[in-house]
Amino acid sequence: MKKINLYFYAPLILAMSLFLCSCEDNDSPIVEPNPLETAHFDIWVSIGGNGGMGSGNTQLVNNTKTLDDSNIVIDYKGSGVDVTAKLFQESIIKGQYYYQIPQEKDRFGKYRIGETGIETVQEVAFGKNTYKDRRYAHAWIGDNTFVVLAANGDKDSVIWTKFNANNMTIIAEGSLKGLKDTLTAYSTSGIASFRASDNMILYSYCHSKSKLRKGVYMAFINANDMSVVNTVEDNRAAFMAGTAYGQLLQNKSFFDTNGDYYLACNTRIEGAASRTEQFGSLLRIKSGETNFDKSYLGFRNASNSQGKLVTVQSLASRKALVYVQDPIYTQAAGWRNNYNCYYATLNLETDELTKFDIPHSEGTFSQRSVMFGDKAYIGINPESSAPCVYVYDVDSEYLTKGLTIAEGYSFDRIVALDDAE
Amino acid sequence: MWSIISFIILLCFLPIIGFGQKILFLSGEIKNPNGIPIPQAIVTIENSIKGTLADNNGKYSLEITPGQHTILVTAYGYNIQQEVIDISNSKSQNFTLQELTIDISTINVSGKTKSQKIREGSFTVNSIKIKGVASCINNVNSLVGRSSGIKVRENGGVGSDFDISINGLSGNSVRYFIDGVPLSSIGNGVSLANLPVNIVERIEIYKGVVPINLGSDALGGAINIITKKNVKNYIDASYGLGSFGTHKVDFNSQYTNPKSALFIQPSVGVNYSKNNYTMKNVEVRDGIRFKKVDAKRFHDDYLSFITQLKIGVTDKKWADLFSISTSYFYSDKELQTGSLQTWVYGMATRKMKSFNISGQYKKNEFFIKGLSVNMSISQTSDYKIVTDTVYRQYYWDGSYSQASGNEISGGVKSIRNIERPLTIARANFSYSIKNKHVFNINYLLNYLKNNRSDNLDSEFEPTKDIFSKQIIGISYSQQFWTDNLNNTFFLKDYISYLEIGQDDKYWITGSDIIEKITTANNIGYGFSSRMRFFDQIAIKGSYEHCVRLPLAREYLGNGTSIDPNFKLNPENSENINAGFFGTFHLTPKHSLYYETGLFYREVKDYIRYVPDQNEGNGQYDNVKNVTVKGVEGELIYSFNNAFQFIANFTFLDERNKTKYKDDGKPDISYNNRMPNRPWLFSNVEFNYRIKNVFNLENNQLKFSYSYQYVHSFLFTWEQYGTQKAKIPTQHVNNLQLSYSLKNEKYNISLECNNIFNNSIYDNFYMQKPERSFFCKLRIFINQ
Repeated sequence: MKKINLYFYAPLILAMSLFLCSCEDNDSPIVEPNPLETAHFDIWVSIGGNGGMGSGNTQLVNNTKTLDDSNIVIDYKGSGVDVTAKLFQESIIKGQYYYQIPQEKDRFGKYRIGETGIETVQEVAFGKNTYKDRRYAHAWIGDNTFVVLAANGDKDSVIWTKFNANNMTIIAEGSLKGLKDTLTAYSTSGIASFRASDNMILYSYCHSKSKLRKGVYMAFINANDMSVVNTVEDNRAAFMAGTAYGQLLQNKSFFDTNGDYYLACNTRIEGAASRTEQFGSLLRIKSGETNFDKSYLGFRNASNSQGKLVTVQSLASRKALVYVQDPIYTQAAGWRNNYNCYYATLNLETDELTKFDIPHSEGTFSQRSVMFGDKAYIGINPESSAPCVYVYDVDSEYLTKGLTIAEGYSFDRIVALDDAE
Repeated sequence: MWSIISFIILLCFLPIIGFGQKILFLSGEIKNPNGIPIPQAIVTIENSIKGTLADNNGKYSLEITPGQHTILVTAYGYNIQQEVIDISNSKSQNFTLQELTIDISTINVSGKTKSQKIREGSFTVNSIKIKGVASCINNVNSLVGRSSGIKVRENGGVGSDFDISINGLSGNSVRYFIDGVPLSSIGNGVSLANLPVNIVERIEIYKGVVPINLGSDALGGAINIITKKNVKNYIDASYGLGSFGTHKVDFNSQYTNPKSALFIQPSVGVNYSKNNYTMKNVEVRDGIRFKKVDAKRFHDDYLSFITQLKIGVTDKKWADLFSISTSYFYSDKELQTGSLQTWVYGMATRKMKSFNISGQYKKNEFFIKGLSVNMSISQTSDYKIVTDTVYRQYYWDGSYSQASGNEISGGVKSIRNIERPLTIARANFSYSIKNKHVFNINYLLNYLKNNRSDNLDSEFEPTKDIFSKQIIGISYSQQFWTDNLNNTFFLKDYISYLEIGQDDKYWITGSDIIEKITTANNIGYGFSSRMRFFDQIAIKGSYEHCVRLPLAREYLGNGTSIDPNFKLNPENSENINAGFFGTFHLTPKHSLYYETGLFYREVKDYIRYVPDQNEGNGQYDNVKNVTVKGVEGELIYSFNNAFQFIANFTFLDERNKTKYKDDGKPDISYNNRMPNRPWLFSNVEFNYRIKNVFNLENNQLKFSYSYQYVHSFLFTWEQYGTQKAKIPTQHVNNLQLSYSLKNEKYNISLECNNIFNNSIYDNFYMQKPERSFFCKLRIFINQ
């Protein structure tokens, strides 16, 4: 009976679609639904410095339906949720929820931050495998399934756990078998992404000890049974742009519109005084391939290759949005000084870097840019004015100023979330 | 602020005109039968609160009205001397005191006690007399915590880490001394919590401004523990048994050879506790979920052992005191939690061993008349082992699951060795002119090495750091009008040296952005003044521009829960205290002592402990500008030496005054109250003593009730966000009953703490012990 109904209604739907299409042709534009009708942004700030990666500063979250309005100034005096005692900024984010190991450090939880506080939706105790708070990689391998990966305590193997995000139960867990590398100790978390086209988890990792990092390994893992299909190495870069915190706070990799996978990497500058002085590069794995694309090395033109990649995100039109720490370009006093970071677009075909005409920013433990709809929202902590958001229209490449955050807060993160139903 | 300073300065220099009645002076020397001066003897007028204290040379000067008076002269270890004199003009009167042949504790000193004399000095100071309560208390910490302006933060039971704040300034702003020598000289793990109570005579708590003879860079104040002296031969032994498997044994004695004046003073203290008190409403696993239960602490055993042997001579021509002492300290602590109670440990431990050898030399009239010298040197080998060798995630019911890292830092398995050899040298020269003008110069050297290695973590590279500081201070004190006006002026130079060898966790410690070797030189100065108009009213004030060099613990961490921070700057502070005090004798049996004070601290680079919620550890960090304003008061009412009521309160307004951060940006928490700090607290105490109960002679029954109040305070900055975590208002009620026989020779005490079993917390929401009981037996025998 259902089949009959489907066959009956399908032509009708098709006819209506054609009718609607023809309307477009008749200069009656379709009004695209505003994605923000069912979504909002959470803005994370901290007091006393950046909130992520090892900081113990007070963390506050406020939500807003729009980032575009330059007349809006967000302040946290008497508003917003003080999440310091419960949540970390480092989270897996999907739909309405934050998924993370919270302050208790002994569980995975599913949380929602509302206007009045944190709602704990469900928490699950660790199974056989346990993870360190904030230090694990993750990949969504289905609408309601995510997998987390990290090195074990002795750093001699990589453990994984699959979670059902609906009811927060553990589906399966184990450790990766068959990694082919010469490492004596694995990096804390590595970086994981899911390639749906061949059901493969791309898991990059390197040596745990910074002095011994001489290349990046990539494991191709069958998402069904977590078997390692292939392991490859690329030593054109010393390590991934993030080795310990996965992508819980910062975007370090992306798939472009062709399905090609890009991984941000960095290498310590020869003879530099500090190990944090690095230059970045972008590695690529072509769609469907199980090896690095040796013909491609991106981000080679930035400031004599001295900029360090902090975050990377995909823009449409074969471009990437990059956030770079570069004291030369920004003319900051040095690597240790503030306001030495900038945002730019990187053409993935020509490697052309186009810097935005916006003030330089401080903060390398943050993720203040988010793609939403056809816009990129770029948040900055500038030196001579209050933190604010710029709105970049990807299609028109037009940049406008959005909302402002009251002076004095460290602007750490913008998160796009679905509204609660 | 400056108006207060101006007022105090004015007081120092304004001539004070007489008080209307003819004032005479009784002066002289107090000596023992061998003609040796007795320092610090108390000279009082019977049925009057007037009195004075002999100086280090046994000389005294007492203001007196014409007429017939009974003069009482007392000193520890000597019989009371009583003399009736008729005085019409100022005269000289010497006293010779006989050595004590009866129980020292039976001496009922009329007039002012040493503790009260110290309180009434020009410095803002609490002086707590241990005599009389030594039979009841089970640690010095608890007694200090009941004093006005003092807040003790213990994050657990016996042996837990603790901090003391004085007038709002945190634990490490406070320095600890034992007989004027840094307490750390005995060992890094020795603290007020595990020091044997029996060896203590009294505790001096200096608030804000600290006299230079302590050689301290204390910014918040200093606690100086004065040990028993003068009693020639005695044995003092006690055993205590309490809740949560607590046992305490103290033994302290002294033998003095009357011919050679050689003394031997052994002491031993043992503390043990299981600390298995109940944690209320904590989460444990319930299958794959969690549930809240009450669970006992299961990995918090603590054992400490301290022994000391002191040998020396007194009253020699070449030395008033020369002693050599050696001590050994050992502690073994199971670690139950990290900085917050949600991080439960089940296997990690911390052991400490210290061995110390030290010498002290004191001499009055050192080569020239009026010159006194007090020198000490000590060498301590200090060794700490932190064992963290399991990958387990523990829960409050003692169960665990396998974890991906060790318990404390989440890293690899580790047995971390931290060796901190410490050298402390101190020299103090004091030159007195007619007891009215005293010049003092003090030098303190504190040289510490921090050697770290690890037995298991192969990636950990052994490191060596060096941290030393030298503090040179000079002061000038003056007394006018029979010590009715007392002024002290001082100048201090602080020199520090830091050599950093470690570079692990550089992103936390800052070792990669700080020069490997740094030296710093800072100058501090100040003055204190006290003016007494009548017994009923006296005023005092003090000011200090103080520099506090970070402690080794702050720079170098503690190897477990506190990470190093090499980015720390020394604290700079303007400290001002002003107050008035006095005693009313309503009738001969009723007396009322009151004291109230205002304090103001303007601190730059305020060092504050910040628990790092992400890394599981904590770290000390600077807050650029902090202002602490406050008021405190204390009232002590006594009736017939039998009933006593004590009430004190402290209000602190401690705010971040950093308007702009280093980068020129506004600091959003400007003018916010500092989080994690109690700001309103109070103590009330009733003591009642019945002598000769059951028709027995020389016995007494003491009953004591105390109440402590701490107002609720916030976990994070007050103005920002909603749904803020808050440490609730706390009420603690304690009861104590003690009975002593034969003039306190045999004592038994029973104590119930937190009688209503209220929930109490430390500054970071760590639950503290529930209702507990403690019984103590003590014997004190002396010749």
